[in-house]
Amino acid sequence: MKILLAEDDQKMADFITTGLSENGHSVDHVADGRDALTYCLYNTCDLAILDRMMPGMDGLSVIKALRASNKEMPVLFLTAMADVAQRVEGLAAGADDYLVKPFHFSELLARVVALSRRKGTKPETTVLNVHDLTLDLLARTAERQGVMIDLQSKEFALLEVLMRNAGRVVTRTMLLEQVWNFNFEPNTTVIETHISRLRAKIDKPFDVPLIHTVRSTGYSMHGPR
Amino acid sequence: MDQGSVTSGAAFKTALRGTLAFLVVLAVSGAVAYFYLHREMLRSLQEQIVEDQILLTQIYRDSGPDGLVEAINALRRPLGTHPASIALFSHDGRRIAGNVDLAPDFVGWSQATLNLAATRGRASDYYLHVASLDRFTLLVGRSLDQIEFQETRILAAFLIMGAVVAAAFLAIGYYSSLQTLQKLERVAATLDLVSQGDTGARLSVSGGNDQIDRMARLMNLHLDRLSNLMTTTKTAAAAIAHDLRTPLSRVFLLVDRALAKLDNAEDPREVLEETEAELTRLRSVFDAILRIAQLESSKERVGFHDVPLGPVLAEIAETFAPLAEDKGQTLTLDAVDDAARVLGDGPMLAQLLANLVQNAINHCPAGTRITLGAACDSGRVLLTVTDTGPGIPEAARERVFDMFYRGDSNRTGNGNGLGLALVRAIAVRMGAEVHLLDAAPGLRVEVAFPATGTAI
Repeated sequence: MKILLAEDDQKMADFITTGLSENGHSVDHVADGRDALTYCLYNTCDLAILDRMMPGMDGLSVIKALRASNKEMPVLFLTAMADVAQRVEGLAAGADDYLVKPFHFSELLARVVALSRRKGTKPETTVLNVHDLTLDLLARTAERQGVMIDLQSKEFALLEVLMRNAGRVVTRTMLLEQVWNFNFEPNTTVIETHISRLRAKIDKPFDVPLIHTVRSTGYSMHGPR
Repeated sequence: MDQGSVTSGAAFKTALRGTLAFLVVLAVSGAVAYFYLHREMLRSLQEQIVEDQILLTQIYRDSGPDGLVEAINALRRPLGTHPASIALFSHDGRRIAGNVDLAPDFVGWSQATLNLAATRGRASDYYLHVASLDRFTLLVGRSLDQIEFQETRILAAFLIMGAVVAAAFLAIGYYSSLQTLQKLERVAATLDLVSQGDTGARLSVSGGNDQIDRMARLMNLHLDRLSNLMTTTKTAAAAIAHDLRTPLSRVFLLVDRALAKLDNAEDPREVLEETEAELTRLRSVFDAILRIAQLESSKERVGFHDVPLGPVLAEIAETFAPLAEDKGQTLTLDAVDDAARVLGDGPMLAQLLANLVQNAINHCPAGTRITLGAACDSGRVLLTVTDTGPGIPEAARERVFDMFYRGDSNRTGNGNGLGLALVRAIAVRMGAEVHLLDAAPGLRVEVAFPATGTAI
């Protein structure tokens, strides 16, 4: 995937470029807001990662100009501006995701992958499948190997997010945002506890585990590989 | 003290303006009174003259010229006290009787300066009436001295009154201006002390209740708040320094150990993971501090809307019930009043509740019952988190809201000591108050919101 990275801190840019390249993406780096806008207007890329505070032009203006020119590539803000209002402002301007510095690289990678998939808007599915587990979003039922599994609403929401991203890593922060709508990190083991309950229902009684822990990052759902 | 700053004081200026206004009014009313009195006195003088004239004419009619001469001569003497001029002249202008030498060349009213023997050579003004009696001319006049004397006295009275009142006005104005100035200078001196760092300095308030006293009391209140804030900031800064330094030094040690392990060709993974956990904690402290600062510094309520508490509470209860269960506690949601709605922000409210519930879970032993509730109570909306745990001693209840305060003094408990500070910052942002109450046994945290619509 071709990614534009607009980031004025050279060390940070090198770090991200290396990381993304190692994961098979091709990264072009600019250090100035105007360059970022020019690049996106005259080149094609699959994803743009923008800093908000940049010389030349701030990230918010860049994305507004892009959206005004009908450039619809996914944009991820990577910024130290962490205020809720700033986050809302960024998303309202047309960004697809918002990640606050400091961040784990695995967090960035997980979001980049999620965004690249969002691009091709495929028809809304109402039934999700992972290996032998089926989740019916309309009937709100879960079934594995012919056994109906009774889920609490939070467990259902958690499972839905994991299954929608089957095969990919879903970070803890992504889960907090998408399942609980929390924009803060709770100081208790909320995620671990709910995952453990979910596992007790959908994994424990069966022979093949589907929910896998990705160390220090999050979780991933997939069948046996 | 500078004379100029006294006379430029508001009180003195007001007194000065008052004095001028008074003097103008006095001058106008004095003039009116003066002319009115003058006219009245002149009229009564005229009446006396007319009476004299009638009397003398009557004598002439009854007793002829000789009788009149006799009467004039007799009258002249007692009239000395109130100097009068009476004279009778023949048709050729010769004086027949009386104290006026020169025959008048007119008939009717006039005013003249006469020099009479009765006034011992002193010339004075007379008001005269001249009438013809057959071949004679009769002159009757009265001195204007008395009137002039009265008028001088009235004028003098007005002048003295004006001077005394003006002086009194100005003196009072000067005095109050001086007092005000002295008070203001004391205020300035105190504020100077405060600006130089003496946060304990307070304005002296005299028992009175004038504008300056009221202002001084208000300023003292502000100074109290300011010095509180400064103390909090100082302790917060010290606490932040300490709370960031400790994990930071741990990170240094851990990185050292990881490097050492690499040197010995050992796997540093475990140490690095520990480092990461430490950094994550550090980041959460940073986030919390920033969040509190942002909440406290921003005042606008952009994005606030009417939030029903029921669904928020249900979400929180469902999210944290399994955690409580794992610790052998129960977390339940009381019946929630449908009318319990507040003006605020859903995610913020969720964070407030999450912090309160997590505190209860973390600080209470197994067997504790934690209850969430929301109710409307006399114009307020009460959000409650009640537990049956050990509670918080009364003395510590206010301090737990301070940044980095921890009930256990060894600072080893989990949590960063910012949870309740954040709760309070969020509550204040939404116009609510947080109260810690004794649930006997246990703790009852009450967040009192103004009901929607009455919110500020």
